[in-house]
Amino acid sequence: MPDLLFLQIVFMAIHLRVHQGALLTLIFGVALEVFSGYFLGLYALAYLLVFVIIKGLSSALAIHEANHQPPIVALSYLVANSFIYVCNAMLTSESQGSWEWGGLLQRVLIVIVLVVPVNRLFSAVLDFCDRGIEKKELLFHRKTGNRYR
Amino acid sequence: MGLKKKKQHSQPLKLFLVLALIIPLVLTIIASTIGRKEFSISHRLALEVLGLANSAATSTLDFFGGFWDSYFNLVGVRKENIHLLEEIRRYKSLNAKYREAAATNVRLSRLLELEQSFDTPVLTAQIVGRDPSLWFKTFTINRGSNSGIERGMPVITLEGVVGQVANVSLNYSKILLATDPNSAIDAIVQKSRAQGIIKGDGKQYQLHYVLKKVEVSVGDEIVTSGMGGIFPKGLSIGVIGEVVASKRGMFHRVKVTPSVDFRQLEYVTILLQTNPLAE
Repeated sequence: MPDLLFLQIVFMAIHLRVHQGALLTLIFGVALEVFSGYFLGLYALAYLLVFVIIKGLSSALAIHEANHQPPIVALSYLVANSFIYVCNAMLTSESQGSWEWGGLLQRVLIVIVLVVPVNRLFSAVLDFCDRGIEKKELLFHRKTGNRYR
Repeated sequence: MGLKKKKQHSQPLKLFLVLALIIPLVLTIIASTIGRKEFSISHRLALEVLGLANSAATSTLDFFGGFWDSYFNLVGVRKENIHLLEEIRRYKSLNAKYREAAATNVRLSRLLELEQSFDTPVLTAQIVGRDPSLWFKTFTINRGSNSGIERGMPVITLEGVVGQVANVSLNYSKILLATDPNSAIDAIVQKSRAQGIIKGDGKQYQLHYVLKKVEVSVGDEIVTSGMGGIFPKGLSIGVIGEVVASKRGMFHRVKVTPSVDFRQLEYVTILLQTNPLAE
């Protein structure tokens, strides 16, 4: 099962503004806590960390194109899961879950394969929303009192 | 004049020919109606020849007639084939539904037996969601505080211990599975009565705090000890799969195979008992 939420967070980190992306990342992270995890706030924190890292990298590197994103996405996925594993291990003092390389690498591979098509899909959705906003502005545009119009 | 003569000559000839044909026939009829009424040699010979010809003609006609009938039959056979295939599909679908209903019946009957074996009230719930992550083992059930569920209540099936209620909302609850590293259950080795704590490692269990002087072996059954007041005593947890004898430390390192197959769970039973130690 592909981690579509993670791909969405990567997309938001690259294409949305800081405050918009951060707020949405926090909301999605908190929403994921409902279905997954035991420690509340852990997923939100992990995803915010990924958001910050990718936001920082996107300003320095040319990763706005979907074709350049797979390595960054794979690395950030590993970072996010490592963060969750380490925090979980620290919070459960006496027992520790086993690190699953097989399952994790399988998920990384799926995410790498899907990053380009999912990115294009999200871009199309974003363009569609932007066009809707422009039409709305055109519709409700008030004429100024410019007598030279 | 010549024509008239020809006509005069032909008339007696015709009469003669007619009589020559009719008279023998009449005599044959008379002969066949009186006497032994058996076929004569000429009749038998005629029958042999005509019978052979008749048989050949009939075979040929049947052969070509069969082709014609087969062609028309094929049209009907094709329609019947389509109809029969459709019926087979329908019956297969019905069969699958009935088998599912029978399997559900068996499963729910066993759950009912389980419920009746406890003194505390119990509740059956269906699993509606599973944790998608690698590091946590939880799932969501379709019962919540409206049904009397509280945090910390034990969750079991007929096979054994499943976990504990971790979070509760009005109509849904999140169950922390016993294989999660955050889970800890008091346990006892059934054979040697050695006590320990069962903790999850993501896939199976580990039995902690079993002293090295206690004998434990592969295949020993692990059950709940009843201490702590969460799980009733005697519920199956799993079977010892591996005992690692490390040189250091006071305790064995014991791996336990769960008695419950978490991948195939659909329904679980919650024991509605309040536990003051659950928080």
